[in-house]
Amino acid sequence: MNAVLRTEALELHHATARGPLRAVDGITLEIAKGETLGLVGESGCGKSTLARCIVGIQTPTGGTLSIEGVHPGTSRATRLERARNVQMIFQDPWGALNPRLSVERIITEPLQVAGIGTRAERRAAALAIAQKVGLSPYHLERLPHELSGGQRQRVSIARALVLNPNLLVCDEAVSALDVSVQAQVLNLLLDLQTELGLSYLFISHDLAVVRYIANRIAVMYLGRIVEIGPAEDVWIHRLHPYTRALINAIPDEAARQDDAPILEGDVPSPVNPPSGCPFRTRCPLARAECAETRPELRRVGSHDVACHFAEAG
Amino acid sequence: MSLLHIDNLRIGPGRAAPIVEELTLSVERGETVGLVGESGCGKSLTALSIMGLLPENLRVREGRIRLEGQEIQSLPQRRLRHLRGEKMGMIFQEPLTALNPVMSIGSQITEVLRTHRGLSQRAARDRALDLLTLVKIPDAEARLDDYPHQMSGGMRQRVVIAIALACSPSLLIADEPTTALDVTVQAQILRLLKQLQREENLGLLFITHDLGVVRQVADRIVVMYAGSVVEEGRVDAVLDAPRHPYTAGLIAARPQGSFAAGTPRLADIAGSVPAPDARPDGCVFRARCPRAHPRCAAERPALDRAASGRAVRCHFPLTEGETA
Repeated sequence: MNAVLRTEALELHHATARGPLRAVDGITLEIAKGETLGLVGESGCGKSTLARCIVGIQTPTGGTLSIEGVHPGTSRATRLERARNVQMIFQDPWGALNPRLSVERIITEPLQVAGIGTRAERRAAALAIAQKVGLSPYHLERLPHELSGGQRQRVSIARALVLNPNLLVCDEAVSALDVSVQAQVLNLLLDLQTELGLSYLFISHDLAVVRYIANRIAVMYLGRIVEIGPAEDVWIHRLHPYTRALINAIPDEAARQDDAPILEGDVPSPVNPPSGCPFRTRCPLARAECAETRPELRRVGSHDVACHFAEAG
Repeated sequence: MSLLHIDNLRIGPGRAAPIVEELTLSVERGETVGLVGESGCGKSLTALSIMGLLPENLRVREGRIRLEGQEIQSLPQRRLRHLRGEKMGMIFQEPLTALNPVMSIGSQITEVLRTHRGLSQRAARDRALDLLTLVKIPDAEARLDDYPHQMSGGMRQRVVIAIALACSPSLLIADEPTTALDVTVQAQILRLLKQLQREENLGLLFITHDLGVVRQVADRIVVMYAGSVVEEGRVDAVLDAPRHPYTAGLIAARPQGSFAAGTPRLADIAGSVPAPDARPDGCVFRARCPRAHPRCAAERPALDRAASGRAVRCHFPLTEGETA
C-alpha cells in the first residue's frame, strides 16, 4: 500500500452550549506517495481543523487516521514518530517563527527535540537543508525579523523538512506572500517534491494556486468534502454547484462577465447546519429533496461529488 | 479639472530616504483607478496621504494633492476632518478593526451624519436605514442595532462602505477592501462597489495587490514598485501588453493552468522588494530586472508619458508582444 495518509470518516466535533459544532464531519481521503492533494473551501469550512487533526495538534473525536499505515497513538514515542512523518507549514511566516531564535536554532530544534545527532551533525543538517530551500549560511545566523517574508517562509519549510518527513501539510503557506515571492515558493515546493518524493496536503482559499500545484483537488463545505477528484477534472467539469460558484467568483475568470450569477449569502453556522444538503440554502439548483436527504459522495464520470443533481449543472 | 490630482508627491520621514517619490496620479469623476503593487510599494501610504491620515513620523515632503482643484496637502486637521466624509471616504482591508466594537452599527452611521450634516437623531436614523439598504444588507431595520461581532465579514464590509458613503462623497478610496474576504463574498462586494460607483458617479481609487481584481473593477491601472509609479494606462492595454518588465513579471508570476497537466514552472521574479533605505541608484527595479543594463544603474528613468495616457518608467521597455 502506498498511501502516506489515509483518513476514514474522520470527525472533530466541539461541544458548545448550542449543541455540537461539527468542524470536521466525516472526512475520508487518501494521499499517495509523491502526490499533492489540494484542499479548498471558504473560511470556517474546517480545512485548517482537518490539517491540525492530521498533524496531531488536535485530536479527532471520531473516525480513524493512519500515517504510513500506522494509527498514531498519544505516547511521547509515537508522537515523535508521527512528527518524523508529518510536518506542517503555516500561513503567517511572522507568527510561525520564534523571534528570539536564530534561523539555525529554528531549523535544528526539531532534530534536538527528536534527539537526533550531535550538535555538529545538527548544524550540518541545517546547512544542507537551508541550501535546498535557497538560504545561504549567512541567513542561518540571522534572526527572523532580519529576513523578508519569502525568506521566512523558506525557513519554515526548512524546519519542516529537517526531520525528513513524507507528508508536508501546507496550510495557506503562500497566501501571505506577494505574488512574485509566492511564485518562488511554489516553484521551490515543486522542486522539493521531485527531489525528495514528498507528499503535500496543500490547503488554500486560492483556487488558481491549488489548480496549479495539485494532482487532485478536494472541495470542502461545512466540514465535509463535496467534490474530490483529479485536479483538471474537478476544474473543468466542476460538478458540484459550490465548486462552480467558487471558480466563477475568481476575479480573473469573471473579468469579462459582469452578469454571471454569483453566490449570495454567507456560509451557515456549523453548529446548526441546514438539514439535508448543507449547501442547499445558497444553491441555485436546490429542490425539495435536498432538504430531506443529505447527498453522499458518489462517482460521477471520473470523480466523486456529493450532490443529488450533479448531472443537471 | 480632475476630481483628484496628485502631482510629484514625495512622502517620507524627516531626513531618511523617502518612501514614496515622484508620484503623479489623477482620478476623474465616475472613473475607477486601480493602484497596484506588492507590499511596501507605498500604495497604502499614498491613500493615507490623500486622506490626511499619514502616521505621525511621515509627512508629505514635496508635491501637491488637489481635490476638485483645491490644494489639500497642507490644510489644517480641522478642515481636513470636514473634507473626510463630505468629499472623500475611505474603506479599509479589515472591516472588523475599522468598526468600533462597542457601538451598534446604527450609531456608527448616525454619528457621521450628525457630525457632518447636523441631522437630528431621527433623520440620521432614517438615512442610516437608507444607506444599509443601499449596500444591500438584508432586513436592514433589524440590523441597525446589531454590533459588528454579530455580523459576517462581508456584512461588516458593507457597513464600512455605508459609513464611507454617508455624506455622498465624490471620491472613494478603497484600500484592499476584499483581501480579507472569501472569494464568493469578494465577488459580492466588488459587484456592489461597481454598482454604487456608477449610481453615485464616484471617483474610485482602488488599491489592491490582485491583478484579477483590478481587471474586474478598474478603468485605468497605475502600477507602483518601491515607491514609484512604473507603469500606467488603460487596464486592458496594460495587462494584455505590459511594457515595464516589473508589470510583465507580476503577470507572468500568477499561477495559471496546472503543473501536473503540463503547465511549466512559474516565472518568478528573483529577489524581493528593497526597503526604502536600500533602494538602488538609478532604476529601483534593476536588481531584479532581466533586462537590466549599465544605463539602468547610472540614470533613473523618467516616467515617459504617451498621448494615449500610457506611461512607463523604463529605459528599455517591452514592445508589443514581447515578454520579459
